Amino acid sequence: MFKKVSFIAVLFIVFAFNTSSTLVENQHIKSGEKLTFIASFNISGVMTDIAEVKMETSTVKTKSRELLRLKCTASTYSSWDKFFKVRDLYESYVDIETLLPVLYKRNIEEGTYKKELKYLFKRKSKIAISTLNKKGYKDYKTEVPITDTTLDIVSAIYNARILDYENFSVGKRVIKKLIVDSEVQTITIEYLGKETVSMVNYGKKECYKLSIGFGGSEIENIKGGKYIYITADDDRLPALIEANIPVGRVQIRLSNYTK
Amino acid sequence: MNKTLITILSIFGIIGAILGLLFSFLPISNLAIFPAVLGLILGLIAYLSAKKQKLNFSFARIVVLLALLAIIISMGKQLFTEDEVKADTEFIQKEKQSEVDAVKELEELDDELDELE
Repeated sequence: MFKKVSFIAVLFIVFAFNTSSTLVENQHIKSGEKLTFIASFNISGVMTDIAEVKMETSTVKTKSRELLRLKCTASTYSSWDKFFKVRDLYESYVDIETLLPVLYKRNIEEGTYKKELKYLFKRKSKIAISTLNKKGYKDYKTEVPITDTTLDIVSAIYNARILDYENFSVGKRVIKKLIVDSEVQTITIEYLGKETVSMVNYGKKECYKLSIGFGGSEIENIKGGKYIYITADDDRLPALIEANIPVGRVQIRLSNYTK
Repeated sequence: MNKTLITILSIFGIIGAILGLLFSFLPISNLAIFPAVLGLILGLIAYLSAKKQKLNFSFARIVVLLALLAIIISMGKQLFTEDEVKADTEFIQKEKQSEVDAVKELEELDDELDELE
């Protein structure tokens, strides 16, 4: 169960923030931003905190260009470490203006399970080279066909934050493709309007409410569905992520941020 | 209340109290309150009924004590412990190394693109 919860926690923060089909210029995400979240699950109304999720941005320079490094980590609290220790690292190296990824890296350690995955985006060739390292696979390479706007899961989070929700009508749906586990997958977002959310340390904030659907087939509103709340201000902070699971409800709450 | 019913209440009570105690030592200690309170209520009913009827109430008393212990441990953990992520130097090192490796890979990609152009 714990593995499932941690997996959902990370995936939700990741899947939930998909991007629009059109390319949007980045005006909100700058280098030096640090966001800290508390990942919890709720059983019978009792909230149990499991892990800390961090999202940080920094500038990375190569010989010929400057990119933005989007780093996302998930670490279980020390009380959980003895039972199920999670140390996940997700990174995406993206263009500063468009937030389109050039390189994506995922290095996860969940209990005894370890996995490394990397996508190198070759936009001109319209392919991404996926390299997998895990038990039974050593530098296992595959080619994944991509388009000009295909994202990875981390860059998708940040791309979602820069969408122009002020000009979205309630019920507007956005479908986008991104690479997950070396396969291109579809995600649907439905804009549900504005709602006020109580944040952990920052009081009440007005947020854009989004509903997330997997596979592009339908928005899953059954049993409460899966929702993301992004603050309706210049910061565009992911204030709250909620998802129902068979044993309760997973919540990822923003607890601290610096810019 | 007859002796059999008191015994049944005590058995359910001890199950609740033990579950509460087990939960109170796990990271999900805040959930211990549910079985522990149930154990306490059943244990108290069994204890008071046995005492009133001048039956042996030592088992029911153990149920009450264990349930109280579970509640105290659970609440103590809630009040006096804070969730924190242990500083993990190995993980921090991995993050740094990953960035160094990434820069190398990005530069190789840049060279490859230059050659294509």
